[in-house]
Amino acid sequence: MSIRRPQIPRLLLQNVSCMRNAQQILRHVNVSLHDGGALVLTGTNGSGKSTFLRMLAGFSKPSAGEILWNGHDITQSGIFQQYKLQLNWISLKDAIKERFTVLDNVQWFELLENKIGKAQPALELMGLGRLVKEKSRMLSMGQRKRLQLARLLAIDRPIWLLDEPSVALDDEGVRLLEYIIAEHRKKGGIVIVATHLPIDIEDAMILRLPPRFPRKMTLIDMLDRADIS
Amino acid sequence: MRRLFLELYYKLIFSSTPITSFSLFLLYIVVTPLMLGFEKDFLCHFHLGLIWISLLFSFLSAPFFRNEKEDGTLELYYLSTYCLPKILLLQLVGHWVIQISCVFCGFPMLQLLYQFGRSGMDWLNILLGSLVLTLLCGIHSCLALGITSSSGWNSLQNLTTLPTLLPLTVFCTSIETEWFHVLLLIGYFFLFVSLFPILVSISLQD
Repeated sequence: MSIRRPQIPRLLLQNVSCMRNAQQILRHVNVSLHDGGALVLTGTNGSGKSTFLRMLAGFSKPSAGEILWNGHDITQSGIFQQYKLQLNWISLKDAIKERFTVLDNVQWFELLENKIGKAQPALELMGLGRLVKEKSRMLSMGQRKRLQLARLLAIDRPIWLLDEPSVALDDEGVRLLEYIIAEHRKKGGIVIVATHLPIDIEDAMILRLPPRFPRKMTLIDMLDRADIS
Repeated sequence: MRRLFLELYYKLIFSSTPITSFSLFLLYIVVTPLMLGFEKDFLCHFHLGLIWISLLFSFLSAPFFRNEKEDGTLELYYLSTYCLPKILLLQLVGHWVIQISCVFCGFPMLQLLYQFGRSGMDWLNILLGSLVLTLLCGIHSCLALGITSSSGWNSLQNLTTLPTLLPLTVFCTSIETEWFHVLLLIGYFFLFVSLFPILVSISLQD
């Protein structure tokens, strides 16, 4: 009888902590994600949901612990260059060029991936097909969010990091978001979502981040306290 | 695909290059002779210095990459297939092409007031020097990306940029009398090209 080796998680966070401006934002986070998995981050304002995603995206580094992709530490430069090509990123900043058309805003980033041809179908799926030649400054907030999601579909990378993806979307838009997430996971993709608003994601792990810890005392704080006493 | 890339690249650069810089340049080169009282000999002899002062003030007003930072584009560039420094360098070159084209549109004014263009070295001076100037401003824009307030952006960028522009100004304004300054200028350019990827990486970290 052969013993099967346990499958290595696609993404593994081991005792990850993150500090920012002398404040402990995240502490001892442990998460493992396999292909097709989903993680929903919840918590109060300032609990570190966006920081968690930005750390996974490589915009900041953990102050302690490890983030492993396929068993390799993503903070190593060579590993990160391969890892970042797996990531699709949506944040509250929409990266939309006002003077570009709706189609241009997707195609520009598609071209940076040496790809072409998925922009139009993605826009049509997101309900923006009739607006492809319009200037993007004419879009509403909800339409801008749909444009971001269309870009997500056009670029099509395995790991989606989504920071508040349902903000400004109407009910139909939220259902569409749930649909594309489900389809992405069927293909083995991973989704990590930070959200305040309810999104129906089947079998998702939920990680509730605690409120922010008080920042550690600095020398100035101690001196101020001494003066008060 | 290449054609589409060039079309979108042109749209991107043209829409983000501040044309006000050219207006400032024109304003400076017109006002300076008025302030000096149209001293013809002085203008002819020191025309490169005066032109370069005008270029400095006009280029320093261009906040490169600020819009990209604010609207989140830099984050997507960072995660794209191309490395971020290459994308930003490509944008800087695009900015430079548009800026220098606008400057050369002002050629009749330069010729009339400053006797500019008597030798080919004047053109080389402007072309090469403005390229270095654009690169320097781009580098300092990257370093200033971490400043969140707009006033901090402007003051910090100017404070850090001006000292590094001093050698550039000296090389460019005295290039007619000191020909070896061309080599120094080229060396200065490659120094900052080599530093560019490092500075870009530093500026993007939270």
